[in-house]
Amino acid sequence: MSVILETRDLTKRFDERTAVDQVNLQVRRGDLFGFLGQNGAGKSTTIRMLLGLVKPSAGSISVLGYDLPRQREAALRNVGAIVEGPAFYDHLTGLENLKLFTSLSGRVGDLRYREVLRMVDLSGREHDRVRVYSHGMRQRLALAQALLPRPEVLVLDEPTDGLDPQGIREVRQLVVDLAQKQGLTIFLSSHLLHEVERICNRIGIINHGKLLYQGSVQELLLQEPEYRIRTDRIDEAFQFISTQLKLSVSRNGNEHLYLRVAESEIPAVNQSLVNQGFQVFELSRLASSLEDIYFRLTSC
Amino acid sequence: MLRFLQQEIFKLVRSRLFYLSFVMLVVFVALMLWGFYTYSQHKTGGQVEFKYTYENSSYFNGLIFTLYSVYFAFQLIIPISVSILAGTQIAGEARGGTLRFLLTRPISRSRLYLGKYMVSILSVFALLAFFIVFNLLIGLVFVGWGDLSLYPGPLNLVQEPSRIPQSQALVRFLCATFTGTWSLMTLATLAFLMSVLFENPIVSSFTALTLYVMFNVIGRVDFFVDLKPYLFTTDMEFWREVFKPEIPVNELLYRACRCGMYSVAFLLTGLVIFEQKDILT
Repeated sequence: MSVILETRDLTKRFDERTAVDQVNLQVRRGDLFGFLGQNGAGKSTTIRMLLGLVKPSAGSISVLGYDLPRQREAALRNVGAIVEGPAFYDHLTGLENLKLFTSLSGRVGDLRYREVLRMVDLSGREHDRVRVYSHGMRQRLALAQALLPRPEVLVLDEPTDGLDPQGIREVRQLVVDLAQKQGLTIFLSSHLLHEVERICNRIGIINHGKLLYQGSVQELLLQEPEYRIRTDRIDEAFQFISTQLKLSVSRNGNEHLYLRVAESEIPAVNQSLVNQGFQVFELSRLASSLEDIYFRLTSC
Repeated sequence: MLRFLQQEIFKLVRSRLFYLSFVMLVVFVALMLWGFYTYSQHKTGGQVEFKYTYENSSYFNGLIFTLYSVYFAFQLIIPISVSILAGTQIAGEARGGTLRFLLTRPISRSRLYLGKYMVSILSVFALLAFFIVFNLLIGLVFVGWGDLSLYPGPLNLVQEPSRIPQSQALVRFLCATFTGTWSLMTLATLAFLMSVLFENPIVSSFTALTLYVMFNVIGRVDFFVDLKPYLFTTDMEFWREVFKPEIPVNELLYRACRCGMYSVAFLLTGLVIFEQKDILT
C-alpha cells in the first residue's frame, strides 16, 4: 500500500527543549493509525507539524505527495482535522460554523451537510447556537467539519477527549466505519490504549519526542510475550533464573514469576528448572495487552 | 478571497463585540449632547468671555456639535474602539482556538491575515461613518442646522473666525470619514500587529492603546521635540485638515502618506511574524 503521510527525521525544538526528535512516521493508504504517547510526549506537536500549524526545526513532511510546509495548501485540500479540543464560534449556530469552516475548502452542497450531520448524530440540532452544545456535541461537530469536504486523510487529535462512555463508543464506531466503509486513512492520537488496540491496525508510540515503535499492533503484541511460572521454592527459582540463566524475570509476591523471553527459549528454561530440582506447576503464556507493552516501552 | 471576506464580515456582524463599540459611541454622543446643551446655556446666559464664540448666534448648531463630538471622540473613545476591533482579530481567534481550526484548512496564512486586516479596516470605516452620520442626525434634530462657524480655539483649525457653508460642510464631513479612517488605520494596523504578537485579545488591544496614548503624550511634551517627527501618532491628526476653510492639500497628502507608511510597516511586520509563527493555542 502506498505511503500517503510520511515524516523524515522530523524535529521540533522550542528554545533548548526538543519536543520532537527525528521522528520517522509512515502512514499508508487505508491505515487506521494510532499515535500514542503521554502528555508532553510530542504527539500534539507532531500533529501540528503535519497540518502546517507548527514549523519543523528540521526534517521533512510529506502529505499526499505534497511537501509541508511549502505546499501546505495543496496538501490540506484533502485532509480533515481535529486538533486538540473542538473550537467554534459560540455565538453562531452549528450549521453556520460548519459553513464557515467548510467554505475555506471549497463549496459543499446542502445534501452533504445533511448527510454529515446525520452521520455525527447532530441532525435537528444544527440550528442551535454552539453556546448551548454539550462537549460531546461540540466534539461531533468538530468531526463533522473535518468530514464535510470529503477528505482522503483524517487527522484526529484526541477525538474522544472529555466524552462520556457512550460518546466514546459512538466516536469509536464512527471512526471504524469511516476507515472500513469509506476507505479513509485515519491518523488518530489517543490516550485510550484499549480503544487504539481495538480499532487501529498500525500504531506509533512516542515518548520524550522520540518514536519508540511503529508498526502493526498485532506484531507488537506478539513481539515480546510474557510467561508466568509457578514453582516450589520461589525465591531460589527467582535467583536461579535471574543470575544463572540471566533472563529478565520479575515476581508478584510469593505466587508467580514472570518471564519475558522468546517462545523458542521456553523449553530450555523449563528443562533448566527441572534439572535444578524445581517442581514446575505452571508455565503459561500471558496475553500481553497494548497497555502493558506501552508502559513497558515508555518507562524505559 | 471574496468568499473569505464575506465570511469574516458575517462573523463580525454577528458578534456582540462589534456592537459594543457602536453602543459606546452612542452613549458618548448622548453625553456630548448633554454637555453641549449645558455648556451653551451657561455660556450664552453669562458674560461673553470667549469673544469669538458668541459673535455669531448660529454658532451652536448641529454641524459644530458634530465637529466637536468627532474631535473629542478622536482623543480616546474612537481609538479605544479601534484598538479593540483590530486587536481582537487574530488574538481573539487564537484565544478561542478557532485559529488552529481555520489554519487546518487550505487557506494561506497571508490570505487569512490580509483578509482579516481588510475586515478590520472596513469595520473602522463603518464605525466612523456611523459616528459622523449619527452625530449629524442628532445635531440636526436636537441642536439645529446652519453653517459651520470656526473660531480659533481648542480645535486649532483657524487663526481667524471663518465660516464654511452648510452644504460644503457636509462634504467636509464626508471627507473626514475617509481621512479619519485613513488616520485610524495606523492605530488599527498597530493593534492588528499586536494581535499577531499576543494570544490574548485584551493584552493586544491594551498594548496598542497604551502605545498610542504614550506616543500622543510624548508628542505633546517639548522634551521630546526631536523625537516627535518619528512618532506614528504625530500625523494622525491630519484628518482635521479637511475642516480648514482652505484645505491644505499638499500638507494633507504628505501627512496621509506618512500615516500610510506607518500602516504598511506595521502590516508587513505583522505578516512576516504571522507567516513564521507556530500556532500553539
